[in-house]
Amino acid sequence: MLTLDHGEEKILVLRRHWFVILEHSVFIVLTLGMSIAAALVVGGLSIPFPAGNPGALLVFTIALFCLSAWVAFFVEWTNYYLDIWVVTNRRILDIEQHSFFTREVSEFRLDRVQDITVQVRGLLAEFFDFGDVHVQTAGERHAFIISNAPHPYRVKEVITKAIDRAVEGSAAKIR
Amino acid sequence: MEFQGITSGFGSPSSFLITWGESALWGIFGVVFIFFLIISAALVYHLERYGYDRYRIKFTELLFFSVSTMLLLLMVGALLSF
Repeated sequence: MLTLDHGEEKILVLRRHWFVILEHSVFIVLTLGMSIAAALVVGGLSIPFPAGNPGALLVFTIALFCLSAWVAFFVEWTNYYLDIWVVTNRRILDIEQHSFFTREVSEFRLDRVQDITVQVRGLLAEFFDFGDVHVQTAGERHAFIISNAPHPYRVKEVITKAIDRAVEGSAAKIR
Repeated sequence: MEFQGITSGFGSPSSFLITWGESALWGIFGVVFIFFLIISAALVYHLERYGYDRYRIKFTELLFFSVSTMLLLLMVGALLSF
């Protein structure tokens, strides 16, 4: 669970674009479809079955493929769901779920951001409005990338406004 | 013949193959079930620990286990009627 400091407000919670999970799901569905088709073709061939119930074996095999695909989809979905960016009025949190038990949490203060770049690559990215948002910081780790962010130009705008407010706040404190 | 010797305890070669095939399928099912339990435990652990929306997590877990249980029961049903 995400814990915010006292007086800290969430401005934006960002996940990768749904097209990313769709892309992975299509691969899983295609693999499943091909496996089921192969099982049906083999089942349909008039190969003499030595013993047992061939129909039951076919159902067992198809159920096994479906279960594997279902679990694979959920593993993908969990990685997608747990991979987020949170922009608050003070900092940006980058939580990356690389795989099971490999998780990276980084954060940087908004007043340390130097530059924001948006990169939209390809026809599909242009059409579905998603792209990478590069956030350059003055810290040790220079660039943070929000990969395949939905509405990247709007995200850039929101982060820029948040930075302006954070910098104004810091300047007011100094004065 | 040696083959007949092996299968003599099962009555006929056909019943030997049924018993052997069923045991192999139960073995496959056992391995799949253990993998399923390990992956499910990891999924639930991650969602419960790092998830952001309690209702969505509960709904996701319910959906995952409902469909998985249905598929596992289908496999068991197929094995019982083998």
